[in-house]
Amino acid sequence: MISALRLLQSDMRLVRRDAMLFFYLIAPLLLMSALWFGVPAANDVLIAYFAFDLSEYYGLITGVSLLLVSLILGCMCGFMMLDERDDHLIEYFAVTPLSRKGYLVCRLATAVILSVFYDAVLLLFAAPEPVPITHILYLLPMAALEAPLIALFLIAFASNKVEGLALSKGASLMVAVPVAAWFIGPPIKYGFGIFPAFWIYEILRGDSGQWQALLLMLAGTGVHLLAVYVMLQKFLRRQD
Amino acid sequence: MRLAGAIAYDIKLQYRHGFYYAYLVISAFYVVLLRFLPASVRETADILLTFTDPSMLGFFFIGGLVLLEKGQDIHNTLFVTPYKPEEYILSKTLSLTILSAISSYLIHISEFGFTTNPLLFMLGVVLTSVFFTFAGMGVAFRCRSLNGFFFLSTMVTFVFLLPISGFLDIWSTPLYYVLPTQGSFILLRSAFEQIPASQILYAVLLLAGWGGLAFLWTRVSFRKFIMLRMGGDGP
Repeated sequence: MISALRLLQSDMRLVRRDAMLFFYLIAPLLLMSALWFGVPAANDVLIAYFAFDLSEYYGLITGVSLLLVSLILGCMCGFMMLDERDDHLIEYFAVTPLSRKGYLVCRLATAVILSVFYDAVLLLFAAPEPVPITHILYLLPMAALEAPLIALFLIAFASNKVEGLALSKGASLMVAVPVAAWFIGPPIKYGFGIFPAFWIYEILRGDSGQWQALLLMLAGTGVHLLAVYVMLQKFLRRQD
Repeated sequence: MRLAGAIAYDIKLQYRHGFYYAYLVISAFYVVLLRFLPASVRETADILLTFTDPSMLGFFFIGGLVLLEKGQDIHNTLFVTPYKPEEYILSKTLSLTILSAISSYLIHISEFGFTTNPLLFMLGVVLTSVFFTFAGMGVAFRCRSLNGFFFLSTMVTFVFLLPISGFLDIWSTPLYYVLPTQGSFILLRSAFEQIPASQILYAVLLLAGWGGLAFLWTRVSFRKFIMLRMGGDGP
């Protein structure tokens, strides 16, 4: 645990020294300001010129933005680990007191902490339509797992950074495909439930009652945990 | 001949790393997405999708390809052979451009069939891809990590993406006519509307000129950041 903290400490030093990591940390803020300023403005234009009311889709837009933040943070974390694998650093970490598991915990913890923070700020302040507090509380556990899930997906299946880039295209589809469920009625839409992101969109749809939302949260968190578990096993079984 | 062989091997490498599968899935996704959009915006969406994804895929992937080879010290051994840096740069770029072209063409014909004239459209895709892949390679030679590459490349390309706002009628300035991407939009639009020959000629020359500049810059970057640092442990 202590050694994991030490790695985290040296990472923080890296962030301070490295402008690029700093950029990754402000990228979600740029996205949020686009959401805050851009969406209402776009809605005004669309209503005036095309009589198209965007506000019906505010929940969807919030969901996509939320998942984009996770995608940015997840890819950032995944790319970092891919670089470290290609440089054989993971092998070194594995034989230090940090161990392979400790290394992974530390890397993923950063992704979890950052995504909880940014997602909470996004839902509380930048969403174009206010999200009820209970729904925010339901969304956060899932949102927290999304970034590490993406990072794990990259590191578990890619054997180097080139494959990682090809897979990151797939990762963005995992977030984009369940958007289709928004336009499809039940029961077919539940087929998209195998995509963890589906459950986040479902809660943000906002047409479910208190108990239904709780049920969606439990199912969604379950799907996320299962996916994380599968990826974790896959990564730990790798020989590198 | 050596160049043709190099391109064939680069394609093989990209195939093995899953690029072709990834773009098969991505293209299928875009085809379905375009189907769902109302017919009135489908043409705009096709142009925008083609520009932001398949035409720029080389830019995205070249970072990984170059950084991996850099990490494995392949350049040290590769360039003691008669293989020239220019061939290396061209082979990487042209092989990725082939993938760009296949993906864009598939998306385009599955939506609009053979009703449009795709020749200039495809020329736009190819020239855009060549320009961005050169530029991406120049950035990649300077970087050490993927995150570093994406950071630096965002800084470099941001200005080239601005003509999107002109294409969408959000905000425009005559200055866009200096940027290669303005040429990309002219060529991509030519599949759907009549565009005067002078404008087409202008777009082709503009893109080709920028492509040439990008090539020269990449060659300089190569000399400075790969050639001159060979042999040592590097910084």
